Amino acid sequence: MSTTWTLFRLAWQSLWSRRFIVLLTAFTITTSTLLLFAVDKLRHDARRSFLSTVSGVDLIVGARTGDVQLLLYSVFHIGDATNNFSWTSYQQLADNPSVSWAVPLSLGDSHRGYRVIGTSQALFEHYQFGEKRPLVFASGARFDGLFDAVIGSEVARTLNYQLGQPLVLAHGTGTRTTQKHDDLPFRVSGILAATGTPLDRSVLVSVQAITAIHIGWESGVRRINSAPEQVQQRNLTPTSITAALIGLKNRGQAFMMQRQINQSPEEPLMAIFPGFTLQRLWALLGTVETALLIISSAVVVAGMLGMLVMLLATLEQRRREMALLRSVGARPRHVAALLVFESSLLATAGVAAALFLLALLSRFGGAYLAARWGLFLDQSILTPSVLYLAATVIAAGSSLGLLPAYWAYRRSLADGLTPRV
Amino acid sequence: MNKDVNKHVDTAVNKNVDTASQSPLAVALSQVDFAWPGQPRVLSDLTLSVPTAERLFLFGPSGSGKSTLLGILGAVQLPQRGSACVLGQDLARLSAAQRDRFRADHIGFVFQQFNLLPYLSLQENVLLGCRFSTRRASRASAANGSLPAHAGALLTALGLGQLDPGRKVHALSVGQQQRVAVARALAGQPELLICDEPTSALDEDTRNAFLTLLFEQCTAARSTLIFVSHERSLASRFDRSLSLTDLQAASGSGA
Repeated sequence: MSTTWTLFRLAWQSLWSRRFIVLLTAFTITTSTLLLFAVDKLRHDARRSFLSTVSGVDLIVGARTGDVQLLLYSVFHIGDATNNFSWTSYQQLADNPSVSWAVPLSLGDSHRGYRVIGTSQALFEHYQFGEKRPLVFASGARFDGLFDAVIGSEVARTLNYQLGQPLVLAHGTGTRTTQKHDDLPFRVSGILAATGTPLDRSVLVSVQAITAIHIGWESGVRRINSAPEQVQQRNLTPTSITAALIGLKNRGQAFMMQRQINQSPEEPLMAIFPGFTLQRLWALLGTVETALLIISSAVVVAGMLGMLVMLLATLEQRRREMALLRSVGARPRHVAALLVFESSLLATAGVAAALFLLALLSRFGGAYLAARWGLFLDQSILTPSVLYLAATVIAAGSSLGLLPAYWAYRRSLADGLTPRV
Repeated sequence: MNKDVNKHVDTAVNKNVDTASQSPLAVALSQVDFAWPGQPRVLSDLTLSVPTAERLFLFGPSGSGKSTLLGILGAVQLPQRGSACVLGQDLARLSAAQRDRFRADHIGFVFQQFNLLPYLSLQENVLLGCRFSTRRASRASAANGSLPAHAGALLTALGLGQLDPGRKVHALSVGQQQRVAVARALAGQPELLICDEPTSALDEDTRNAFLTLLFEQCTAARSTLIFVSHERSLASRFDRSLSLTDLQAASGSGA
């Protein structure tokens, strides 16, 4: 039996004999590293989820503006479009032989603070998020009639709306809009399951419905009241829309298509790659995740210091133990190794427990996060990033053991067989 | 641990053991001086010869350099002057690593207290020395067939056969603990057994019984016994009795 194995067993048995205080110490390491792992995992999953907010879309087209701005108002519903573009241009795009599908987006109205999106049935077929997840209905179905509306999960939860709930759209996007389209009320026909995308906070209706409710609003305020029956009879083709989501038949043509749209002679349009622009946007938010990571790292350092205090506090009492080990032939560095083993065992046990808890949390908390926040966790726990952090914590814990180990080394050299306690 | 270094130490030490077994002297200290750093000398011009298999009683009041002498005999400290040969091996010729290995292989210790690791079982405590010395482990196996059997035999011989070898040691009485300590020190049959006031915590009856068992086991293991104590009354039971003060030149004693 090798000396290393002997020392390892001694370290284990010594720790086990002090299991109450040792488990408490390991627990502080576990909680602090669990926090670190969780922050890291959420950071990665949130990033992944954010970057794939519109995963199946190849191009987003809007009136010429900044790329981040176009993304912000078309996908995240932050800010307003400065310009719309004509339905004719949209039709030309949709008819382009390279284009597989196109979905119009018409923004500008709201319902109790939630944005209303005028769109088409094609959205439900082609919109994808996350790992190419399609939109799923928690209940109900797509809008079918002109005054049907589909609401996102957060809208349904916050406003406590059920299927069939009547709702009135407000003109404009402010929460205090006083002008309402109350002559033409809508009805909830479907509620979407949580997606973790801005769709959760949206009310979806058809573009035709958007046209319909704006009949008589050409000057910006309502001049005449409309009756639903009258409106149904009219030509509801919109004159302009805010943005369009485009899927290409061949992704390889994306750059060519982008150039073609950006140089369109009829109207000043622009096309962006959503993934690329999302990445630019995330870079702006990156400091927040770094701050979180720094804070949780500091908590881990605190946990480690707790372990160091525990190891150092017992050293003085253990001088006789060290002397006894020396008398049976242990070298001073064996005594030092014993303490490094103890800190490594503690750190490893703490980290292992943290990984286990992380797995439990993500297994059982994952459904809640998905339903409540639309954050879809990646079920794999041992990501390179978490493994890297785990290795770092274990290495740091073991290295911290070098401090008491050095102390014990010096002590056992000086004490020899008879510590003067 | 580096295996090559180990092997080197092994051969060096084993060679010395061969000479040791032929050497009539288990311990030969000659004109030894020792001072702890920044302190006056504790040992001065000390000369001591102990024949193999002798039971030597060393009388030393506190402050007479007992601990220091044990450190030198145990190859932990080296004298600043003079020579220290244990089992025919000049300790000054060994590196620190070789001295640790020499101690592990050839010397057993029994202290006044804290002889056992409280977190180990009875059996594991007895076999602790064998874990740090392959030589003692193989001698222990050779004697009784296996390490646990060796531990069991020693414990039985010391009157502890009725105890569960798997139990922890902290519930044992002081007398029992000291007997386990003897078993630990003699496991693997080291040539030299050094006892530092092992009986001072025992009452008189227990002490006498303890000495009887100790002598039996030293004879069985053919170990030389050096027994240090301030209790002069025990001296009569030993082959020879010496005063630590008398071993040193008059000029340096009691410094």
